Amino acid sequence: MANNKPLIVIIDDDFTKDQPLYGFLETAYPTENLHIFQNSADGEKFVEQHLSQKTIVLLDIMFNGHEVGVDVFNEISKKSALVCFIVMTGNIEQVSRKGLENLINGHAWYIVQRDKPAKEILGIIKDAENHIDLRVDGALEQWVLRHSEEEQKKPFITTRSGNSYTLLDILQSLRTGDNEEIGQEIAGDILALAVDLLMQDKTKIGE
Amino acid sequence: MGGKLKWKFDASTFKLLGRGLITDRITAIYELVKNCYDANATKVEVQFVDVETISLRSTITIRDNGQGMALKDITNKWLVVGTSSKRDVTFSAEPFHRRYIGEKGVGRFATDKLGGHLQIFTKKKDDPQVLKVTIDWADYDRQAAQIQEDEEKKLLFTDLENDYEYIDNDQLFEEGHGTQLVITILHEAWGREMLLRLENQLGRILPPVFDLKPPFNIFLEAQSLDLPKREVVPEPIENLATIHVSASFDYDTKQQGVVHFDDEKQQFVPYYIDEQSFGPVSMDFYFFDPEAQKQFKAKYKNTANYIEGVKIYRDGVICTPFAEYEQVLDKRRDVLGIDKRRFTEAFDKLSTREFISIIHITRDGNPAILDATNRQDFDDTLEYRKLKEFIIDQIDELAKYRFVKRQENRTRVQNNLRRASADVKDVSKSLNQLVRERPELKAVLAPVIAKAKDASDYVTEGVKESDTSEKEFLRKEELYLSLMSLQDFANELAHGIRFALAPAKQGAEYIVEFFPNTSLNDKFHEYARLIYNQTEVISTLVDFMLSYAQVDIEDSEFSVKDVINGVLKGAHAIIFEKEGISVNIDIKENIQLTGKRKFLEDVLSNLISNSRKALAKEHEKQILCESYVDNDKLTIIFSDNGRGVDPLVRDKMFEMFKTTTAEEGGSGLGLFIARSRMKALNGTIELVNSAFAPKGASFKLTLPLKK
Repeated sequence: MANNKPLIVIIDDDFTKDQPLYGFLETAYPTENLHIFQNSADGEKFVEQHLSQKTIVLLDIMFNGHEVGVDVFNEISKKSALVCFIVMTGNIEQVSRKGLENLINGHAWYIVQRDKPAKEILGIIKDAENHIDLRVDGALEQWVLRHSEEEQKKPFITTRSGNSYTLLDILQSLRTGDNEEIGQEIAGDILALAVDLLMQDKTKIGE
Repeated sequence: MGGKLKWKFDASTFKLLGRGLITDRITAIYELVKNCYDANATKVEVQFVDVETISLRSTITIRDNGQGMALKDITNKWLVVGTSSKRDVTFSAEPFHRRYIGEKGVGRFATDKLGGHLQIFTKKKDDPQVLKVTIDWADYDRQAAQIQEDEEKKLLFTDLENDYEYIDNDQLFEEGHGTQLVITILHEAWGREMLLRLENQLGRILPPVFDLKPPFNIFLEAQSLDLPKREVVPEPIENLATIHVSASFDYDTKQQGVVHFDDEKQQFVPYYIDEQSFGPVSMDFYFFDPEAQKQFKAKYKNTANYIEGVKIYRDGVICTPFAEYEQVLDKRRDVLGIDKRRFTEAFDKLSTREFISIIHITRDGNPAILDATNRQDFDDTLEYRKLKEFIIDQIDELAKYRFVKRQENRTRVQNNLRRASADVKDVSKSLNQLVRERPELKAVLAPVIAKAKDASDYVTEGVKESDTSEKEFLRKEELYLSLMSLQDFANELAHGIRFALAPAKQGAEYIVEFFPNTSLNDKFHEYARLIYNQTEVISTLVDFMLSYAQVDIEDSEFSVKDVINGVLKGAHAIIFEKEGISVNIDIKENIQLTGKRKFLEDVLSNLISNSRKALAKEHEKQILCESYVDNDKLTIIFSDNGRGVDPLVRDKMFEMFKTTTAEEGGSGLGLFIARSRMKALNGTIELVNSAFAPKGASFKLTLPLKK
């Protein structure tokens, strides 16, 4: 990846490059990071193939009268809890209660009406980007992926109880977002360590 | 410090699995009977003792002659929550070879829904004694409540203890093996009506016509409620149906049969479509007309048999919906949304009280159709949604049949009335003639003649009245329909405008934000154009909307030939000449129609506009417009030999903004307007096989003719 910006993936059967919202996105992100899919399955596949990159998905819900977007959301969320979703819909009232429950319970980042000012939508995308950058689990994921495939497969850490984990195990666990697992445990430990360091020497904050 | 942490289950977990998950008592009994089926029983006896009021004697007993359980089965399976033994092996032993239906391993908690105390008596074939296990749900409750205060001593589900012992009882199981559940300390009393409903539902665990070998016979008994022991036999309620239609999957051709009512033949005909994503299904539909419904109600008065819509069976055993009958329509579970649809759509939809449908699916053939754990619906998967739509399509075919029958019936009744009127007049006439010939009878016959005259007047009045109410009904129906379509229409237009506005708004925002940055000049131009185009779209929509409000569009009588000639030869002649399009018009009969002439002109204009775009790159450009009368319909076929319609947009081309001509600047409104106009004329528009095949496109317009 040439730049450190996230991939912006738009999955929407009515969206084209001609739309001003795309023009706005071009002002904020390199064009090679912008990807439009009118076919939901293609979009889903693309995101799954690029799990190693920071990704923000602008997702439409209604495709041809069906809530296909909710299925796309569920499928991708199953594979990685680290992809950030912004749900963009023409009319929120069209989305069923069950569909909304799914989105909220699956931690969709934001739900925004399509005819909102483009700057507002861009602001939400920027927020999402900050959110990704600040996530310890996201940073850990990036760090794991900087290792070679060989290194990822080697045992990396052994817990007190004697279980050994490879970097790949850690990655897997980070992506499933399961609180009981090693990935989240490490993320939690890192935060605790950071807090501890700050507590020990307050004078060095910000240096 | 570190280590391992374990899950614990609070002692009250059983309530979540029993009372929480099992929605009603009939479902609870059903779950337990289902377990007997899985245990290869051929006979199950369900007995209710003194249940009409709750007392210490109130007991529910469920006894089967299945394979029974050994102590190790109880400890390793029965007492293991969510036991997966039935998930690993899918069929029970020969000769039964039953597809296991209890999969989630929580059905046994259904006993908690019924009562606070459970005794299990069970015996395997070769065991010398009967094993007795006591589960005291009520005592669990008490224990859990007592210790609750102390966090450390908190009672866990796995700490709860259950007594077992071996007892001698040769009498209990006639065939030397089986299981008996005895439930006491009942939570609720059972009335006769509830038991009749239970009987009815148990009868429907297996589909009505299903030959299971070895059999699975269920017996029900409640002496104190005047229900002597009887075998549960499903009432052949389907026999009362007016018509039975079935369709199934053809495994040879891999095609799915569907219900299809042929408009021309006016009957159901076999019809097949490609295999569907949810897998093969076979279906039986039993439709009840009002007469059959009346008979049904008379025959099954005070029983718990109802005509209640769709039931889905998996591998021959019912999945949904079953259980308690809800009298109040609004509260009824309507998993397929059939009744809901009637409120939002029109009168010509069938309600669940008009048909019974039995849908067969299989676990292997329809793996994506999964029972929800609460037993009352299915998990919301894409395939289930498709299945729902599919079933509703079938029901709509039944509705077509009903529509035709209603029409026939209406005509028949009216003819009978007219005949009766004529007959009565005949009687009067004959009597008068008789008096003329034999004046001496005048005095005797006078009262009869007067009566006959009255009768004749009444019948004539009746005929008139029936005609008036018929007209009144049609007028009201039309009014309701137009109000409803107006609501849909307003909704659709509002969304349309918002949709068209969004890019214009954002385009303007872009210009406001970045102007006069010269490096973005191209964008400014592009978006200015876009704003202009979008406002054009919005104007068209507004014009269209306003045309509905125009008072000057009155119904008038017009000649179809004049309209077609006027639009094709008059208004557009210069354009056609300029673009080199040759136009052929072939009108078989000249028909006079009454309606909004302007609407038909709009439809033709929109089709012409489409054709011109489709013909842009052709050498020999042709448009053909044919019209003929077919029974009570006027048909207009409008064709061109252009590049045809992309199959990808075929299905949605009549929706707003789904354009077939994006490259030529089509905004996706033309066909939408054409469809709306045809609807307003009570007609239809559809894409049919091209008259210029393999090229081109043909649209078929149909308009009803008043006889």
